[in-house]
Amino acid sequence: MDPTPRVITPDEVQRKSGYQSVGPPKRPPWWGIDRDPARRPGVPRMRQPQPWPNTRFPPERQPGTPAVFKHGRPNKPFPPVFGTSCPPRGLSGAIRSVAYGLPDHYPTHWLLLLLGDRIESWGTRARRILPVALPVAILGFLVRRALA
Amino acid sequence: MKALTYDGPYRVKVRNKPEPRIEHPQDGIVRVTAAAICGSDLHLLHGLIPDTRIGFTFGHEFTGVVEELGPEAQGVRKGDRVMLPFQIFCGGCYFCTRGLTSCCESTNPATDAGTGIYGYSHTMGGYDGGQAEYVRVPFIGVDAEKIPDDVEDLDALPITDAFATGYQAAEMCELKGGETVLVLGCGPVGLFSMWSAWAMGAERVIAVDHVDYRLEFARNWLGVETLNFRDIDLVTTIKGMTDDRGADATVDAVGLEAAGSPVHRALGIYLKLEAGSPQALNFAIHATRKGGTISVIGAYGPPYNGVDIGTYMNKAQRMNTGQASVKRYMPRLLEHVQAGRIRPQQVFTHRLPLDRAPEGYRMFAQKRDGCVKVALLPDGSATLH
Ligand SMILES: NC(=O)c1ccc[n+]([C@@H]2O[C@H](COP(=O)([O-])OP(=O)(O)OC[C@H]3O[C@@H](n4cnc5c(N)ncnc54)[C@H](O)[C@@H]3O)[C@@H](O)[C@H]2O)c1
Ligand SMILES: [Zn+2]
Ligand SMILES: [Zn+2]
Repeated sequence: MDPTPRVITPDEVQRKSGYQSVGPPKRPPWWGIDRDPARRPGVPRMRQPQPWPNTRFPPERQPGTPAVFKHGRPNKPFPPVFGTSCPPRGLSGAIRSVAYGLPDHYPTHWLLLLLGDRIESWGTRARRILPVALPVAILGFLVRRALA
Repeated sequence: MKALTYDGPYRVKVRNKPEPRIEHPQDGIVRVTAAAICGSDLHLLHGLIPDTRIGFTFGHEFTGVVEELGPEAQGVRKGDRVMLPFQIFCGGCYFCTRGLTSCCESTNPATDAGTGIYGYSHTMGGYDGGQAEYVRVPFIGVDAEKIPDDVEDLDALPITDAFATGYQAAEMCELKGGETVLVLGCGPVGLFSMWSAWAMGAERVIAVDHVDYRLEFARNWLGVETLNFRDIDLVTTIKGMTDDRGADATVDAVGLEAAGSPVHRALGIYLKLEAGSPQALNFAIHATRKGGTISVIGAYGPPYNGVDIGTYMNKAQRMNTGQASVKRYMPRLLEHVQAGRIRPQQVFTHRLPLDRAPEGYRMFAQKRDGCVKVALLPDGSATLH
């Protein structure tokens, strides 16, 4: 480890800053507590391989149907554990399924997914508004015809 | 059960949903005691993350109590108070064994870019999140960390995401002691990385944002220098403050919804011609000295961005990136909490019952009412704000 650095004084900071920096810095009492890289849990980033406590590997396959697709990489195995929330449905589901036919390094994959999202949200909104809006529109139309 | 659900861009609502069940022998079910709203949830809310489905429940930062366990879940017991890293990881694959739990290979088929994350779209695995009364927790025995008796839930809560992320952001600055660290963004992640930069021996910490109350929060809570980039030319000012060289290391704790460049906001956020605005990254490249380090912890989306890669190359800089591998950091961060060096719950300017989650989202997204971070308390223990 390096020797402790010279600690700049608040005055110096104020002078060097000169601009908008408001107030001198107040270093906390525990300053430098994790200065030694050995105290940092993520150093080195890739450690010697070692399983985590309570690991059972490989995990067995989750039964049931995934709500997620595998992106278009034929040689990638489907992982043993997956999410099951909000399975794909309708037109947005079909677009998503096409999108996932492409691998994730194709921009088209992502653009299609965003399109699927928009279609789903417009569709949901339309389904919610139409049962009210449609009868009102028809009624309005009939009333105008009757008056005319 | 009650759960927050996505209802299309800019809309979330709380509704009833079936309770989660054990779907895999290593699963558990957790009753949520506290769930935070994260800056990353705003990217979902704003429809910027592909494959975010209507009816999906957000929330990847939560604590709870173990309610139910699958037959192969070992290491935790019913009734344990636990905190969950935001990623779902298996503990035994190539990346998990090497410590990169944020890159686990066992939980997400949808992309090679990330592992399963609670409540973070189907791009991140399609797992419902913790802004609900109950949540399914795969690999509960491996992933869950028990909360020590002397640590309150709300102090443990940010360790599951924002605090661990901020700590890793500072770690990725590779500080040896004595550096000037620039932190872009005074949201919770930025704040925790300022704390961590001090802990790792930074000589100066300079915080940047354009929301004044957040700059003030950073100044008061952590004693850092602050700059509002609306008032000044940020890069020129930083250079002026650092012998005309730039900061030794810069943390990007902003991500893809960065303000500060109308052009990038138009291209990325409104027209979707790039994945959000890379303005914070471009600030970082220009404000970091030659040979310096840029730590990218802010989230960016696919497929690409207009980043000033030429300047980055010419300045011989280094970029460290990654979602936080939260589980690694939990013991050390709990130690800091127990030693009284930080009270993470101080970031929660707002504590709301789950029913009022949509209001929490609005305040947090619009940076109103002095909001720094929101905790949702599904068990009704919220002190109403
Ligand atoms: N890598 C990870 O594991 C991980 C984990 C959690 C969060 N994140 C990401 O970190 C980022 C910050 O999260 P947060 O919860 O603090 O969010 P936040 O929205 O509360 O904070 C972002 C802050 O950046 C400010 N800002 C906007 N444009 C800026 C600019 N050009 N320069 C400087 N500041 C600017 C905003 O005013 C805001 O205060 C998000 O992108 C989030 O997705 C990443
Ligand atoms: Zn988060
Ligand atoms: Zn794994």
